[in-house]
Amino acid sequence: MSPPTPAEVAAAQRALAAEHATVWAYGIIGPRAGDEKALATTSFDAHRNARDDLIAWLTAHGEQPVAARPGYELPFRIGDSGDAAALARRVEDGCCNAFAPLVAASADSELRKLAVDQLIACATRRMEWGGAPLRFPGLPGRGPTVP
Amino acid sequence: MLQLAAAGSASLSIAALGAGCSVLRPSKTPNSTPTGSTSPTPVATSVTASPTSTPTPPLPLADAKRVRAALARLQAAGAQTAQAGVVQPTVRKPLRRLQRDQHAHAVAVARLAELPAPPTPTPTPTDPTDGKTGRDTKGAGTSKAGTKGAGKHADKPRRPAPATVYGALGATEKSVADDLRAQAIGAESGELAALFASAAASASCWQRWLARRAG
Repeated sequence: MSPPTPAEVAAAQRALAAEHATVWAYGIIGPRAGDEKALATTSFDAHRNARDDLIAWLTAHGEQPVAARPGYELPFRIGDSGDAAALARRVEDGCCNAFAPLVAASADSELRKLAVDQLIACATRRMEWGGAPLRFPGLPGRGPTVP
Repeated sequence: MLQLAAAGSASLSIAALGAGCSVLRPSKTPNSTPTGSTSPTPVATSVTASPTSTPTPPLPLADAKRVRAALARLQAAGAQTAQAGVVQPTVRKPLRRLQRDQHAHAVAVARLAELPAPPTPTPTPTDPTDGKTGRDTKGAGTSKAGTKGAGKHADKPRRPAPATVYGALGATEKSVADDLRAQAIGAESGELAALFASAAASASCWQRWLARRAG
């Protein structure tokens, strides 16, 4: 196993930090998801798995995984299921923005595959939460493509 | 850091992505039990990156082959979408954005490989009743048997239902997404990999969008 590059490790740590925040956010989203409770549960499970995969990769390469923060600031008040869906779209978008640089930075094939699959999964989940298809998920300069 | 040239926009820097990758800002006052790792290492979720750029180096040879394959795939999908609007005009407007996205993906991939931008797919009229195929229908159905006009419609192709068109395009988008995913995983250039992965994610989203409309 070749040692990871500093860029790989930094990008993986950023993606992990994003996953920590997202797992925390789904703890807020879940109880307020209304009819989308099942989607909230599968999304939460998927992000927890992604977080654990990143921790496992970093640990296997001798790196100390970044820790979750005790809490995060919500960007707006989460009152009803519409707010919960908006928060879900926001965190999925944030994860896309964390995984695209990890795709670019990863030389390790296992990490590359993880990053590509997470980028695709986060973009499609963002859509399932009511978002429109994006032209370049995870890349800057993109815009929603409302048909 | 390498640059990504995206369709219709200025050069984009992958490095600059880091600045926007914060999902949520850490709370100043802890108000929740951690749900993740118990590692004590602190982390900054807001990252600043240098916006400086350097010229894009040429793609590795192996990636040139991936670019050609991806371009062919994206252009074929774009042509199919354009054609769908001719075969079934009711889907033309809803799918305009899909066609633009497909073209934008092809242009971005071509630019990254320093290839000329592919042309926008143009649909080929196939419906003779559109009168744009050059097919001569003059005199059709004007027999003395009183079947005036019947011949004109007798050979009119049956239009597929919109749901059928959405379903077919959805299957294509799934295939495009799978192809681009594989190219992203195998690409040597990180920049190209990120572009392929993003385009794969977009195609995957469109596949879901089309599947919903197909029922």
